[in-house]
Amino acid sequence: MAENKNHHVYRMARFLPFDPSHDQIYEEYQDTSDSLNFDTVAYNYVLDAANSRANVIVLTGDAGHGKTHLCRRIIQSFLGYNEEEARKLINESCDGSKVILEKEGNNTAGALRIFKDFSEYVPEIAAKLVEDSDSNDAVTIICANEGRLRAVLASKDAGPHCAELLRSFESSFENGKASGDGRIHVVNLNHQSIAAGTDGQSLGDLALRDWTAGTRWRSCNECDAREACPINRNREMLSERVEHEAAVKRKAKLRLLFATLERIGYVITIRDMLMAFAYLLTGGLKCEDVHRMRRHRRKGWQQAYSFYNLAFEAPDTISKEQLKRLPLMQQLPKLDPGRRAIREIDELIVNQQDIFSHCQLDLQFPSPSSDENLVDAADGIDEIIGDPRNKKQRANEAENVIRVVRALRRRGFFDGIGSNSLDMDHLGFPYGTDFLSIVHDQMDVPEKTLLKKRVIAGLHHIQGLQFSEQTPTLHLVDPAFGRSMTGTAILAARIKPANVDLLRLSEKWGQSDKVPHHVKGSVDWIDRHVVLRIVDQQSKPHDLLLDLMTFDCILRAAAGHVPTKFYEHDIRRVTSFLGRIAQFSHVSSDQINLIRDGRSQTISIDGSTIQVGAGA
Amino acid sequence: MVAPFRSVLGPELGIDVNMQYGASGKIRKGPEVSRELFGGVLDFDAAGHYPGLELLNFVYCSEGKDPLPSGDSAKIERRSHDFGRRLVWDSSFKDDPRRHYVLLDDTSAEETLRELLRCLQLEIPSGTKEPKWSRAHFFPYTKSLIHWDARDRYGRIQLERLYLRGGGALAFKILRSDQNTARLQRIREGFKQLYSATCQSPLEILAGFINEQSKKDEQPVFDDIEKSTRANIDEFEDIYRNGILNILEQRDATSVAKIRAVMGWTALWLVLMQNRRARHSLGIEKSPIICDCGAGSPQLRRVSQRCLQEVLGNIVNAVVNAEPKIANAQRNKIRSFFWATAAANGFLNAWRGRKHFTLSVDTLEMIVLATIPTGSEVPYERFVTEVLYHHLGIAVGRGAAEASGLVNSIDASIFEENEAQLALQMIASGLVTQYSDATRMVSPRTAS
Repeated sequence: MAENKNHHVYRMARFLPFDPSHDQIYEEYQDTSDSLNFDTVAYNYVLDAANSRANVIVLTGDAGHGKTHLCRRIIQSFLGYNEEEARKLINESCDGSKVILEKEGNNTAGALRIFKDFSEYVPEIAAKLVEDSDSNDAVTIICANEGRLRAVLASKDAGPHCAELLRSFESSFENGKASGDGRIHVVNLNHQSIAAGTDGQSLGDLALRDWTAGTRWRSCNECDAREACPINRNREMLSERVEHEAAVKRKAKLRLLFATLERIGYVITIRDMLMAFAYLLTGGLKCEDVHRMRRHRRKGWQQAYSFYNLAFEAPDTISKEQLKRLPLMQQLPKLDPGRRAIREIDELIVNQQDIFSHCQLDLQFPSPSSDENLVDAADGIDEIIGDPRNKKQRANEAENVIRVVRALRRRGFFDGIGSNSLDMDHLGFPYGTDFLSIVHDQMDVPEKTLLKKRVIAGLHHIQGLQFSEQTPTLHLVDPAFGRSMTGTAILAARIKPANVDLLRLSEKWGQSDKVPHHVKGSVDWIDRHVVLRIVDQQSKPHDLLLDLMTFDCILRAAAGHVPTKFYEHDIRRVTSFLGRIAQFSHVSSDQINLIRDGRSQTISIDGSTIQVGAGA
Repeated sequence: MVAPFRSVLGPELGIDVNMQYGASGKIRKGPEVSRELFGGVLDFDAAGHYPGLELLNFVYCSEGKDPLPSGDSAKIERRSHDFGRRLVWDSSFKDDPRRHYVLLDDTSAEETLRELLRCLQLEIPSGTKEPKWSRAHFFPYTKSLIHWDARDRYGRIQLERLYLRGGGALAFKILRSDQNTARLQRIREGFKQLYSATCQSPLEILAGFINEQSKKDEQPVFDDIEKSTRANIDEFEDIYRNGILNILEQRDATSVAKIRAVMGWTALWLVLMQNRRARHSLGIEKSPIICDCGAGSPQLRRVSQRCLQEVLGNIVNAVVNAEPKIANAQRNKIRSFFWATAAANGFLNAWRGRKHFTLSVDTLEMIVLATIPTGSEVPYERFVTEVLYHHLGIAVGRGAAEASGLVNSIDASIFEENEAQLALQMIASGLVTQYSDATRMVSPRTAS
């Protein structure tokens, strides 16, 4: 046996932005053995569109979503080139000036014109190129991030073709369609989710499965350091081949974690995801680092590199500056389940033993008392609690307990030791389960009605209204009272519960299987928003998109209290939405309706006198 | 030496009397110095939201149908709203005969109205206890809620200036003496439309009723302060006019949002103008106001705090330059207008304690409504450099720091983080739409 080096570990290290050979992960510089080829929904959509001889396909989205990668795959599948040739074409012939013809012997009669990147041109020149490309000799694919695309299409040299593209692009946001007429397609990769799909078919699952596959880790079997290697331990915990059921569960929780991040408004690109997985599996370590640390470090150092700790807390070998370059790692600590005390879970991990089996590498902590001993966190925190004699020892003990309990809570979350209904609690969203029930369409009618009632109560609370009895009707206060919190306000409108609805975002644009070119069919889609729809007295619908954060805020308000400073922006958005509806729903009436102390009252003006009576 | 004639009408009217009676060479008082330096009377008592309220009074209570009349002086029909204000804030209201004639001695009705009207109070940032009724004003949510200052003198309600001292008159003068007639006309139209959405609302009906029961001017009266206010002093006034025009022409914002924005923009512009004109009078070159948007850099926080001290110092110096013998109290009133107005409008972090410049959600909303025309959008980077820095002189991001030479003393990355933090806040409040990593667009669509 010897201390081996696993090439796959070095390959993953290249995905970390602080590695010297990081640039090799970009499509242009990859080699065939490195590439990860997923059949994403976007890929299939673009290929179908190309096969149906679309005029233009616009691929837009943040850097790192895989626009160039998609182009290379399309060249391969549509024109019949192999990966090497396609990559060469990407590097040499994708500035939009040339038409790429199919490979000889391929009989599809296809041709592509690809604009790989708009950022190399000034907008005016790019607009001219787009204008010139309006011909039927080839399918044009335009890759650009949204900002650049807008700048090009709206530049002063833009002609009718550009204007048509811009119209299609803008209408795709409003009607939720990737194409209006089947000629111009807009594939917005910012809608692409790495956590879409169930049964381990999300992009994240596919990537993780590829990276934890047995063949890539063969050299570790022979390695001396295998038993003490945190990288290997991470791989084992996430590999279905090694720990089948547990790994499936852990991956599902990772998927939930990423989906939650997407649902609070963060766009995760495929590059972000791969960087994150590389970091979660290796913690920035390479084989020789592990070998060195195994010899020199105090026992129990590996727990800091277990994937569930890495996700929320950086180990001491990663500097702040390095971590800053991993965008996802800036966001994940916000959702740290280690920081949330849930009695049911804490009872299990601290008091009840045998939840985790003993002697697992990721649960071994250095003992506070001696350098040689280890504390096995599977036994809870009993071994840490000693008999502190002074302030320093007390502080030390507290620190150790916190570290162990946080790690156990995180592991508990990923292993699913509590019930599934607590998952969103772990991540800090006590009402997240309701959000998920809507976006997964798992609510029956009575449940939905009850939820609507709570949402309406939340909207009342946000407007400063309190009712002595629960009411299913939505009351809208006059915008002048929108910020008052005294419980007295003039009412502008009453909306029947039937006119308040909660939909998932994709439903807003119609059923995905009935509407042609529905955006849901163009990318790996998850619903990141719930739509609050209020139909006003003139039967005009008003929609407000609620992300997980705002939705949680409304339901917290329904429960009686919401921290107004923390949720200031969300509350502002909701009140201004309600204010806009209220402003136009004044009904002319002789009476003024108001709410005071939870009761409805009316004010009547009669000449020079005024009277207040019980309300209708 | 003859003691200056002390007017019972309030200090600023006293000045006018002194000007008539006093000989040249007399020590000029605060309002006069302020008028010389800044064009209008800026006074600590009138700081905060009062300039905006005063402006709306001039616009909607002036004689005739024209919100921005031309001519040398303006006549105004002042309302006191004493019925509503005393009902809520005056403990001696129990002796008022209107309890019988109007409220029919119904105490529960009185209590309900009191609760309702209390919600409409214009915020007093320094207030911790229940104000006197003459100190409390209604926020001008609807047209009939707009009212002037009033006080009780020997059992009679007197309409007179207490908190509306000239900041709003300056804004009014600037708007109505606009040389650009097309813009002037559009602003007139905008003011005519501002309250159109609420002209039938229940609150307007109630406010109209309360106004009917209250003391008001029988005949329009001339306003001397407005007459002596100076406009068209520098080009910065166009920034104000354009801002008001943009706010009034916003299609998507509710009228409440627009009224808030008109009041906030008036206050913000006055403080920015005060800083500019103070510097100009001292012959110091322009320097931006450094805003700490909460990215957590102690260095930037200190710089922003120092910047405030410098601004206040400049104002004091300018005042002393203009009138070396001015009383300290008078001088400080002009100085304190700056911080009090800025703090009340969310341009400073707090009313009390150590202060630094910041941009609250309200301020950001108001700036966006005032600087980005309806239906259009501006890239975030341009908003930070062009709108905030070039037009308003507020430094937030790296571009502004580089242009103003601040990067020589402070690490540029601090400004980058500051800019990113501001973007986060604006995204959260819906003022910025993030299309992709390269583009963030600021638009007034969702502001309200």
